Amino acid sequence: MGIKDISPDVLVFWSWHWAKLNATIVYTWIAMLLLTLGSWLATRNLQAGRKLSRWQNFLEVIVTAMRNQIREIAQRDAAPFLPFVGTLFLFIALSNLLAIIPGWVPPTASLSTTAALALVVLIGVPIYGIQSRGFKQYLKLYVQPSPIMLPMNLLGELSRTLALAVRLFGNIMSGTKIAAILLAITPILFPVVMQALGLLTGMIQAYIFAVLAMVYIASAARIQQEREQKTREGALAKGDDNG
Amino acid sequence: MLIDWFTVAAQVVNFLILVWLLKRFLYDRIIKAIDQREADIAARFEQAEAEQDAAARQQSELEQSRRELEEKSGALMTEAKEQAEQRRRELVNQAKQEVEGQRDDWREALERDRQALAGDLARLAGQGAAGMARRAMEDLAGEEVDQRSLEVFLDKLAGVEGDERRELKSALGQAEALEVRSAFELDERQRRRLGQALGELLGGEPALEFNREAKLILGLEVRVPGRKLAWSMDEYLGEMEQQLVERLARALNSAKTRQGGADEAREEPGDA
Repeated sequence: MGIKDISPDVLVFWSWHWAKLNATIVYTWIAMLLLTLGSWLATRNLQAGRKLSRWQNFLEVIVTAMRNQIREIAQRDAAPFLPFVGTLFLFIALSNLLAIIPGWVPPTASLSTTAALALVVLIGVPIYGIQSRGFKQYLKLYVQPSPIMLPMNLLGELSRTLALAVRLFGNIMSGTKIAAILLAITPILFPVVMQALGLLTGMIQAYIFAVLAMVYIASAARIQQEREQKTREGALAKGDDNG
Repeated sequence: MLIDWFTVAAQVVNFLILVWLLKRFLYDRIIKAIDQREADIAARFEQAEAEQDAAARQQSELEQSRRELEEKSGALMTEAKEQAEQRRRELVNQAKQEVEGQRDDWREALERDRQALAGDLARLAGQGAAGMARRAMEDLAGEEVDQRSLEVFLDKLAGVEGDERRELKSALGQAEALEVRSAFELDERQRRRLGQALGELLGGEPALEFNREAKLILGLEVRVPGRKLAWSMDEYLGEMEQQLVERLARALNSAKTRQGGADEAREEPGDA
């Protein structure tokens, strides 16, 4: 069994020319369906009052926690980043969480999925950066501190995106495969323990992926915050002079 | 190859769709609900603060009103006490004045009664003494006494001089006759002597008319218009009666003065 065989990409349900419907895509759809359906069901009858349903309360706790986390990292309003970063977390977390269901293969165990997510982050970072800094200011980042650093900066951007993809893929794939192997060798005790460990790892990886993505985005978008900081410092200095 | 680029593209699209779906069905709705709740809570807090402020204001106003009311009631109470005290003093003064006035009235009445009684007593005493003297003189009356009375009267006529004599003469010119009253019956000789004496006094021979008057004790009197020449014991007795009354009155007054001094001396410690 080669490393390619352990990816859910290899399980193809349907194909036509270059297009194919493999397990990664199907399981992704299932996760998407569950997330969307769950969200729709839970948010059908939202109450703005003081009495909340349990589902609404649960979702509010998750969304509020994500917002607070984003706000802490970005040091600014979390609203623009929440759909992107929050969806990264929820998708990865649910995909990993469903690993407790026998026969479920997390889509995140596919390097294609993690690569896709990393690619999205890779594209999202400049988009948010340009939104915050402006096009020129963002491009200047790549020639800092001097234009000689342009290749290094580009390489760093790519390498960190690659690391993002490979880290998630490696952790999830390894956990899944170790559990499968242990299931074959020792059918009862170890697989359950490893499965539990895999769940924990999956949650942590979801958190790490989302946080790292947010860190990258925040670093690209920090110019606004720097300006505000400079403005505050200038005001304080003026106040001291006057004082 | 580990990476299937079609799958990668599909996953990118799937992820973007999922972002859109979750934004539509999860984040926006949840955040809207949270924002609404926060706004609701903020509004409730604002309302509660406003109500608290209003309650505090109302409490302050009530406290102010209570203080003002207490001050007013205190002022009214003080004023009422002062008025009551003033009224009490006025009533006491009024009562004192009334009592004083009644006492003065009573004293005056008492003094009047006392003076009247003293006058009555003096008069009665004088009259009694004079009456007794009069009765004694009446009992003693006789020819010798009558003759002596005439002699005394004639001496008195002889003693009239100066202005009195001229006034008697002018009064006599207007009269037709002189009335001579006597306490006893005058005989012819006594009438003649009286006529001579009057003729010497008044000039000429005046016409005389003799009448008996029992009230004249041992005395005689000659009446001309507007004038009278008389002597009798009644004058002495009247003078004695008057002196007796005056002396008794003085004695009673001095006794009253002593009594008043003693009363004042008794009242002084009480007033102090």
